[in-house]
Amino acid sequence: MPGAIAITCPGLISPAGRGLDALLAAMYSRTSHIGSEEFALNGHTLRTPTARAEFAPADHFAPARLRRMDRLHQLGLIAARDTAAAFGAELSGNRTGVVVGSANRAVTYLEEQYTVIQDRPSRVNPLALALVMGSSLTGHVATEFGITGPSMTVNAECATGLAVLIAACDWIQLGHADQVIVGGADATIAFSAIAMFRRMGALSKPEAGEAASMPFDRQRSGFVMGEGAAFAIVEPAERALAAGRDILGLVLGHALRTDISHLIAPDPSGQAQERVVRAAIEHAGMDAHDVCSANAHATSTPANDVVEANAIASVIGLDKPITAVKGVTGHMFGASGLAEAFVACHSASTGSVPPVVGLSDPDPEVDARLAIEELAVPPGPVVSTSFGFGGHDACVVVDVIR
Amino acid sequence: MTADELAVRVLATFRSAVEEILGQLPDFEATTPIEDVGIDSLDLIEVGMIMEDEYGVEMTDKHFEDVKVVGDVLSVFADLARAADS
Repeated sequence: MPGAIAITCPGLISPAGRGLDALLAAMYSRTSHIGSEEFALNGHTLRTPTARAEFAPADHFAPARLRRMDRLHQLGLIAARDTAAAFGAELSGNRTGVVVGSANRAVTYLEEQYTVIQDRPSRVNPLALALVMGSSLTGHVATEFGITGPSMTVNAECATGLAVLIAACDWIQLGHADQVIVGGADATIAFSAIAMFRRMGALSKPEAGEAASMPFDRQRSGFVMGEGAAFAIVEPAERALAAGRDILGLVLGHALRTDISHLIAPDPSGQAQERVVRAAIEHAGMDAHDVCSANAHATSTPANDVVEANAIASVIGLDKPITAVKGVTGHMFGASGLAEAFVACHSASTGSVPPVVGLSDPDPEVDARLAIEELAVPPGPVVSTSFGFGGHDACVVVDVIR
Repeated sequence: MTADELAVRVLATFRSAVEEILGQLPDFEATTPIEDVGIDSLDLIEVGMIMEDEYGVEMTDKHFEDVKVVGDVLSVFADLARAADS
């Protein structure tokens, strides 16, 4: 264990509710948190399945503060506060780092302000730029907890949640910080984002309703717009143990690779996906067949799921269970990778692989062992994957202390 | 509206704008420097936008160029409001 890097203090707000337990409970009870909403702009309407993280902003922030936040910042800070509370010690000062990311930034606020600008440019809010800039949530987090150590904003699109974790592991290994608060958040449920994702054919059919997010299923038609935030502390395992903090998981290995087959479409051959999984396992110094199960990116898009499942299975073995989270949450974008890594840690610890909500009729092209039902395997290493537009492929291998 | 009535109204608008932005109302007088009220230069622009709405006027960056104390802000808006009224 010397030198091992731990994930501690998970903070999560997702469509399943607050905390990792709420997400796991939804998976085990096969509860989808997907509804449907209609959006209007300039006389045009769009109806689409959505997965909302329910919360009352006024319960968490004073009115004066709320005026200067997008929903993205609200979600992010709720999760970050849960992480900070679980940490139980001071995060302030130079020895804490911050690595935070969002795939889609404050898109709702940007829409509002763009409407104002069209009408009268001088009426744009003087703080608008501070809300829509890529680093805004990072700054909010650092300011909230008085952190003056290294900070960085990561955007790896849908792989952002794993990319922040991987960057933090490197910082810990290099000694840049004693602990790093990492997080990913997105609140993308907005007219413009829906219009763009729909036009590219990435979204689930509008009429799909609650069954809209169905990873690996034959009937899947696209992903569901979700939202949420996941935060955690990355720190040396020995430090966490000495402080009496619960270790959710250890990051044994990780890899970032780039899929250059297309700007946004996943490599149809699966070679890129296979490459990143293999690289993470090699980084962990393990034999691929020692991996016990996988938590897949599995967006519920026709282009992703089959190729991904087959690529993972070709590396770790056809008999290893593969699960996925997005049937519960839809796509939480920047939050997804980290939330899914939390679930992977749960499987590594317990050997229990929660079922894929939304999956009942597996795509016959899948040549892998999908978790249609809860499956049990020996506790042990689990891989978790995230793939982002722009070719950002990420994979981590997690386990727990035995 | 007399000059005094207008001054009272402008002060009331300023106070409610500051309270809306800061979430509280600090003590200040006409001679209090703006930064001592607890509002920074971006907050001041927001205060100005709220007051623009109240009086149906439009301020430019120039209006706030020489603003140093609370009284300066109140004068700017009293002048704008009077000009808009006439």
